Amino acid sequence: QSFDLQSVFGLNVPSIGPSPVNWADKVRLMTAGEIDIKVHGAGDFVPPFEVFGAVSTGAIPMGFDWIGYWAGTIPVANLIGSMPFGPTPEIALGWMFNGGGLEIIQKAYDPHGVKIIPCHLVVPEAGGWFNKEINTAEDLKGLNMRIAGLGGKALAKLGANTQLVPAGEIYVSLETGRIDAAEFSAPQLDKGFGFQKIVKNYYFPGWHQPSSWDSIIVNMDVWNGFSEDQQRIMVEACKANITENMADQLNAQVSAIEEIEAAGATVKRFPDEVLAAMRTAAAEVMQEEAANDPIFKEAYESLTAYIDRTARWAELQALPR
Amino acid sequence: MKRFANAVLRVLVVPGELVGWLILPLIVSVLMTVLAAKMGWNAFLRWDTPLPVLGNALTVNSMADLQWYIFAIIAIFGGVYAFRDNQHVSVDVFSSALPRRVRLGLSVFGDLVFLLPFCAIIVWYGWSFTLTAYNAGEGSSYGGLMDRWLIKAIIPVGFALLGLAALVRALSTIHSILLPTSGTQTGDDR
Amino acid sequence: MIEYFWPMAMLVALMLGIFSGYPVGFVLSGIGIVFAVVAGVPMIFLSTGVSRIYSGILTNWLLIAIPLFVFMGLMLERSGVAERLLRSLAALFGRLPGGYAFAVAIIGVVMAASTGIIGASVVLMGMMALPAMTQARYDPKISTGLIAASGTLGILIPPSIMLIILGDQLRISVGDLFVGAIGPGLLLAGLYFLYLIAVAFFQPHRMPPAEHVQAESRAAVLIGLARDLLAPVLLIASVLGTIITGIATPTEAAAIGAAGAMLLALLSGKLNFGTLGAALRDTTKTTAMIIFVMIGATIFSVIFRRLGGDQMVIHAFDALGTGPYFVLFAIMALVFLLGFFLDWVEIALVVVPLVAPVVASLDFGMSQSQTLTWFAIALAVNMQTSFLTPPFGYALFYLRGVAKDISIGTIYRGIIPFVLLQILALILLIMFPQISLWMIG
Ligand code: NA
Ligand code: NA
Repeated sequence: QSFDLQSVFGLNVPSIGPSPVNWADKVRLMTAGEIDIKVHGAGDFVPPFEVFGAVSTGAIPMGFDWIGYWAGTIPVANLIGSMPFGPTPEIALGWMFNGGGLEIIQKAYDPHGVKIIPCHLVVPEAGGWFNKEINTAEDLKGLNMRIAGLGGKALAKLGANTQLVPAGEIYVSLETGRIDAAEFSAPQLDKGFGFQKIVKNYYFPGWHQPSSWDSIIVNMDVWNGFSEDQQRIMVEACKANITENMADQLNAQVSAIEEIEAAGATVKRFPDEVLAAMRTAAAEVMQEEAANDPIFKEAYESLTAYIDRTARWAELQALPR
Repeated sequence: MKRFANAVLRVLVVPGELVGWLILPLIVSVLMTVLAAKMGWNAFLRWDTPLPVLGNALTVNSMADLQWYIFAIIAIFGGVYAFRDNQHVSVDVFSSALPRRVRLGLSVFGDLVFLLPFCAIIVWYGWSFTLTAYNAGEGSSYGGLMDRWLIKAIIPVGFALLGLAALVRALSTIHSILLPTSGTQTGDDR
Repeated sequence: MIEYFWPMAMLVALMLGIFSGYPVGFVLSGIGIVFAVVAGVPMIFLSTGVSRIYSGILTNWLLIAIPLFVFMGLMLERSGVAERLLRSLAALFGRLPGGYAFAVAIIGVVMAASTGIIGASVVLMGMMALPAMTQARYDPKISTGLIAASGTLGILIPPSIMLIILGDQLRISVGDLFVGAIGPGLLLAGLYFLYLIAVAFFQPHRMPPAEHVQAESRAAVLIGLARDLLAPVLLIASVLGTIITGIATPTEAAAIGAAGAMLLALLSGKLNFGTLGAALRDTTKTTAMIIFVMIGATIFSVIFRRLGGDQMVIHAFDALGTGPYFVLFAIMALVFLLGFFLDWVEIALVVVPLVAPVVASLDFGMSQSQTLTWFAIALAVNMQTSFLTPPFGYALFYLRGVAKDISIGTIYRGIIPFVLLQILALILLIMFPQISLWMIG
């Protein structure tokens, strides 16, 4: 059997680009060629923001996405896509597969007839590129920034003017001063856009997205057409995929940061005072969202409890460096 | 037949004739966004109870959404308007040399084989596309405009008008092929 | 070849459909749908058409600049700015050999830098400058050729709707394209000037000095010229200036320009409810006619791809092989030939998406975004030429429409030297990419 899968990313983008291709290879291998998935890049059949709708109706049987793209339709997707001050990758992994996370998310996807398989775990992004220095929370007031998701809403609370400039226009907008700041992704991807040539400050940490999920989505009728073994293979192939991408990301980030510094950008950290203000604003934003959507609320409470509980382990194990 | 067709077409292009005026608020809205970016404003107005479409604030992002809403409305309804006035891009270097009846035949063929099925499909799937957005309560996740189904509904509505226009023109052209004396003016005459 | 039966058949049907004279946008979408049904693509797949129309076109913030630039052009046309400029330039140059010709070329450049569309400038010069040149016994071949060629500079020199659409198609910065097109635009204008100087020098009888222009004092003429140049210069500064200095994106600059052009029309006393309504209705139809070709192209291309068309194109170019410049030459030659029959909207929306992945993978010793920007601008020069090449060239038709007593044969012959200059500019641009890239970081 042969199926088309469309990614929301170009297949040449580092790390997340080849991820669905690698997954499809594993599925082909484990099913001894019974299931052949053809992977297509961004925009081949539908524009990136339409992949969910197309999988839901069955126009395309499968997709690969950043979960946060579906926030307009599924509020909880915003939380899983990027939770400000949220879980580290290892905690996110634990919550997703062993802490009840996946069951909560699937509930939100069920009405749309879409099966979700978390399939790529992304390390923290960078905090973003800033043409101005951020020394106090006051410096965020009136800052024109390109930023996605709940982090954007939190910054808006702090007085920033947040907007979603399309990826292709970020460079020129930054260069011409049309925007003062932009977050896009992790250093490995940011590097390719050449922001380091035109922006002075590259800030960390990626407070708005300490970890995030990309997933395989499958039309529910197509999913139900697979045997139980085949379904199991697709999930296991995703888990293997996650292991692989966790292994390949960290070293690549550090190399990318070195290249970015060599091009003349300064790598900095937000002051703790600024991060504290962001944290307060982000918590307010997430509580507002939770009040509007029951599944968001359930996921938010479950994930927060999981983070708080596992924090003790990290504290007990902390070593002096 | 000809008079009937023209009367129907005149009704179908009414939205197209009017939507051009939206360009004026479009200009104002873009200029307001430029000003807001210069001044570092985020929201123009905020209020407590969420309103339909606007949510509970008029922000720079609501303005950006409004701008493409207007663009979408102009493009889709303008399509019907340009169709009635035969102003869509076409290449008539060769066809203009053909006999009149052949040209009319090609026009009917285009209306019924190229345009009508296309419109039918876009109306059909555009309708479910709109319903999905309505049921999910889809809206901006960046503090822009809410109720996305309203703008999505432009697609089935606009293509329904276009399909209707194609059908009416095809019938009228067939009529004038079969009864060539009933008048020289047809939909195909430029 | 049999594996590519469907995409091949689609291309053949597309050619036949386009030449049937039926609107191109509807031919594109109709052939897409018909082939989907005949080739057995599941019906539900056609719902991708709606997604592509909505997410790829209607929500595309970049495209908002199209109605704004169209409206700006129409307002400028009605404001009388170009007419006044022509009068004062004629007073300055009219008594020199070739004086009118230089005036027309200058206006071509000024109008090009102030509007994003063509047509206005060709029609205006055809109505105003052509009679004066005829009266001065200019060779009609040179006057019509010049008016058509300089009138089409507007689609190349920014602001330009064509560059906006190319930027969108190739996913490169429109701001970069605008900056990058300035050099080639000025190069072309420079070539026109050199050609005019050569004709004035070697064949002065083809453009004799005008005797009927009355002599005024040099100072009065210069003051008048300065006054008439002020409005367009302010408009150019407010559109191109705000883009280059980063105050505005192309879309925002378009709104500034549209407001500015309305203000000019108001100040000239040419703005009333009737003319405004007419301009707005024309804007609606012009926008729709461009967008519906985009809609048709997006439907055609998704079915074409589903039936293996993109693989076919890549295979075809692989078979061509032999180096990036050869592939580039093949694409440019194809676009030039298509330009005889098609205009830029069809070329940009149908051909460019097919060849873009091929070009992006070629190595010219530049970064990928530089390669695409340079390629886009070379395409823009090439597609500007399609306005001028017989039998189907919009600029020639516009001119024929207003110059009733000049035969289309004269117009066709008159354009030849200018088409050769276009080809020369294109060759220079391909040999020296710096012509377009030097101003981009
Ligand atoms: Na221009
Ligand atoms: Na041509």
